[in-house]
Parts: sequence; structure tokens; C-alpha cells
Amino acid sequence: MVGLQTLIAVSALLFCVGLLGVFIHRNVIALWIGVELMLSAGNLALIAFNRHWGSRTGAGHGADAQVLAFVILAVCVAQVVVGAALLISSSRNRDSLDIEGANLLKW
Amino acid sequence: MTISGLVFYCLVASMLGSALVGVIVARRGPALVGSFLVCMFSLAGIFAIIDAHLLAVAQLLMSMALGLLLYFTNGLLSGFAAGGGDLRGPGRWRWLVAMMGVGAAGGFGLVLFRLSGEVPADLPVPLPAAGVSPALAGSRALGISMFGDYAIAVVGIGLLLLTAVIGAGYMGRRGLG
Repeated sequence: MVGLQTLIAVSALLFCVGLLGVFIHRNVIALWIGVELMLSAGNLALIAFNRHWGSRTGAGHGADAQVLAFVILAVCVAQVVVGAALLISSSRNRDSLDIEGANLLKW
Repeated sequence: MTISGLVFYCLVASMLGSALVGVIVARRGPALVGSFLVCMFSLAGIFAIIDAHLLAVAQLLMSMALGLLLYFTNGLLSGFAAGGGDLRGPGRWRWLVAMMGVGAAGGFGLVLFRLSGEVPADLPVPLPAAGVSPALAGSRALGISMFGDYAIAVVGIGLLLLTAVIGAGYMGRRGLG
């Protein structure tokens, strides 16, 4: 049986890797992947806590957090689809995927 | 250590290793997206190990759809896919993307339909039998158990495989395979 501490540690490590990806990359797709990693780490922590506290209190049945995480996944996919459209449109105008050059909305 | 514990730690190593490789080492788009896919599939395995079966299926479908989307977006923007550099032209790869998207959306829809049909407003908490974790009992209450009702996963993955085969056939016919 995998314990709560193990799952939280794995989740924290995954979050840190995603954060590292966001910090060291300037390519938009790499940034996206970093954000997805952080979201997945959040989902893993959510499931881990639900699994732990649900079983301890007897109130949880293990499905609540799964449904919530499922909604998070759906929102995440929608976000990526809209982001892809924006990215393609933006790169057609700028001919670059470098995030540093995206200053269209800057004052 | 039990077999499932061993599998869990292998999946964790695979997930964190591929994430690190993707973030630190990979410089080209396909390598980056490939590492991301391995990482997400490993995460789906971890969800399955900790009895979050519903989420494992959803994560699997989401990873496939997202990986393909990122791959082809990257391909479109960097122009490595045949005919993909010209965004105004009729890109041949978009058929594969579209079919995989439909497959993944179908899988998501099936999961959602199953969920909406199975979950009553006041979900009864089943008393877990001896040796059955509450999380697994909850999954069974939703109609998703490892073997009996895993048809939804099979249908979702089957849809994706079907679309992949159709897409590969299409590309092969066009000489892109």
C-alpha cells in the first residue's frame, strides 16, 4: 500500500520539475508542458489526500476527488486547445515561438 | 515490497525521469512532447495503482489527445511535418489530428455519460468488503472496477486505436507513412 507521504513527495517532485520547465524555457510549447506537469501534480495530490482522509473519516468513497480531477482535466484540455489556436495565430504574425517577444498586449 | 509497490516505484521513476529529460535535456519539439507523453502515461499508471480507475482512464485519454495536439502544433509551427509548414494550405496531418481528437472526445464523452448515468444525487457509500479499500469500493459504486466494468476503458482505447489505424492508413495512402 502506497502511503500518503510517498504520494505527496512524488507530487511535489513533479510540481518542481514542471516549475523548473517554466523557469528555464522560453519556447511556448515547453512552457505549456511545464504547466501541464504542475496541473497533474496538483491532481495527484488531490487524489492522494482524498484517498487518505476519505478512508480515515469513513465519509469519503474515493470518487469525489476523481470527479473533481476529471473536471480539472477537461478544463485543462479546453485551455490547451484555446491556447493552441492563440499560439498558431500569434506565431503566424511574429514568426517565432519565443515567449519573450510576445508583447502585443503590453502598454 | 509487493508487486504493486514495485510497479508503483517503477512508474514514479519513469514519470519523474521522463519529465526531467523533457525539461532539461530535450531541445527538439518531438523529443519534448515524447517525454511529456511518457510522463503522462506513467501518471495514468500511478492513478490506476492507487485505485483511481476513473481518473486513470481520463488521464490516458487526455494524455493522448494533448500529446498529439502539442506534437502537431509544434510540427505545424516548425514545419517538420510534411506539408505542415504552410498553415494556410490543406495540411494532410490535420486529418490524423482530427480523427484522434474525435476518438479522444468520444472516450471522454463515454466516461462522462457513464458517470452521469451511474451517480445518483445522494451517492450511497458502499461498505467495503474485507481487503477492499474504500477508494476501490467507490470506484465500484460508479460502475468502474478493474475487470468487470472496465469495458469503458477498452472502448475508449479501442476508439483511439481505430482512429490511429485509420490515420496511419490515410497517411500511407498519401505516401506519408
